[in-house]
Amino acid sequence: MKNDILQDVFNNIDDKLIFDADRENHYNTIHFTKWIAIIVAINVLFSASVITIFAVLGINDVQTSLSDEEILLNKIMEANIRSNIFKKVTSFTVVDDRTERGEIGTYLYYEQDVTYSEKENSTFVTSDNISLLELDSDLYMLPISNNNTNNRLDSSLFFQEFKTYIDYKFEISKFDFNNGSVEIILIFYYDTPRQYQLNISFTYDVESLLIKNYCVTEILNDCTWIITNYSLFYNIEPKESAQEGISTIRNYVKAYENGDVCTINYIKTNGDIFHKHTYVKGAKIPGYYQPSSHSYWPEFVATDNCNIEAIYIESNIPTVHVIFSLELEDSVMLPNGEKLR
Amino acid sequence: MSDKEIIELLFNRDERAIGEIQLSYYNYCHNISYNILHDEEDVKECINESLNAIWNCIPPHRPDNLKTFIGKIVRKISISAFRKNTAAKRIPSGNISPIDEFEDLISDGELNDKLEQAELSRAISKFLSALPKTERNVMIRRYWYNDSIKDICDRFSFGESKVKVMLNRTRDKLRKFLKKEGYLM
Repeated sequence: MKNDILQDVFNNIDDKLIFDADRENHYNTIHFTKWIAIIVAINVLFSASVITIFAVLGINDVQTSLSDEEILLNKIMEANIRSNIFKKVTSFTVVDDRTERGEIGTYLYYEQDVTYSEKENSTFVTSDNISLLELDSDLYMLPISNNNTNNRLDSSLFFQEFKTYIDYKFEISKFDFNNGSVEIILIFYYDTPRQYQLNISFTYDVESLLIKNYCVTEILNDCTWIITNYSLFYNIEPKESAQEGISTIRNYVKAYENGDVCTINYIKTNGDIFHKHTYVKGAKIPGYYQPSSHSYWPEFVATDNCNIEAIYIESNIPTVHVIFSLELEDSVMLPNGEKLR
Repeated sequence: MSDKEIIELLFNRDERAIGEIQLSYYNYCHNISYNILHDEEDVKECINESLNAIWNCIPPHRPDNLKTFIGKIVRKISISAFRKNTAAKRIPSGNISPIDEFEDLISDGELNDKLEQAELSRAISKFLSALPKTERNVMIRRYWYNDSIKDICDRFSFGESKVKVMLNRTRDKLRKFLKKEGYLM
């Protein structure tokens, strides 16, 4: 086949188009045309009430059932997904210095002006001296710089090289239009249990609709189990931290085991539960990228015997640090195939 | 059984789901696969492989449109099988796939970046959405479902020359559109 890539590209065209092309055929079109022709004929011959019927049918036909707010929201979503995530990301090639030839992958980077990178202790350093950390052969973590000095690093963005996904889902988990806040979930599905999820939240200026700030967290799951709608990354503005009193407290976490479920409570110093997360057996507990040291705690796989003995959160700087201390009784298979003991 | 009920069976790990999928969609899958492979044995194998893939990926996935989701899996697996067969010389290489009618729209080695491919898929979807319904469906029948010209003629009650001219013009339009949008040089 000469056009292998085009074949793959066609496989991922819009579901609705594929569905419609199988559902509709020319006979339907003929019948519909005849039917419309009859309506029009009646319209000419008889009363004005038929005009109303025809008008309603016409409106339904062009599917304008979305409310203005939804249309606006879709517009915002589209604009942001495309401009902030995809359009500004450029790909560049890294030459494997072990073989001095060939590509070892395509890496995605937020800035436009990256021209080279070099590998150093399994960390890719760009010309801007920003590290990209290698998680496995095709998964890299890209920190996003933020111009807002009060919030120097919103979050870390994990970006997997895009595989040929079979389907994707785009969900809006939260939308507060008046306050300029949106949270969305973008999940790519493959023809395996694997799925790749991006949780994206951003704030925008209500007047101009320009993005003020956003953060992206990534969940990659090779397991049968999937956790959705959770985030272990906190993006707390200083003033919010002060309001919550988080900046002055050191939280710690205890994990409780209950069959296949592992619950983690984030507890304030006064004993109140500040936050609660429930992990399902087999799901990964994401690692955390610490901007100051570029150190990284890799992802671990939650098992029913995991015992998270001490996690603390401190936020005396805008970025909240989450540090894991894990104790695992049995060896656990890491995403890269190595066994963790 | 409705798609929703089939998905529920899959989520409950109930093997009846596979039977229900076959009942509802075997012909659909067969057509997609046969149009690519033209070999009953290979088609059967691909459909079995596809059913296995569906069983494995639902859950966690809950597709909005089960039929299209199944179709995409079958198509993908059938294309892989076709490529393997071609590589193993079971099928002579040559201009035997409808997609090859695009000639050198995109050459192999180009657009290796999956992100660019995803962008291109979106651009083609946008192009197709803007086409009149008949042209769009003829195009998708030919290049997604891999229907033969004769099948398209039968489906739409068109003459062969009309279908060929329509496809030719739409391909040209697509080429111009992709150039205009900056996807092609």
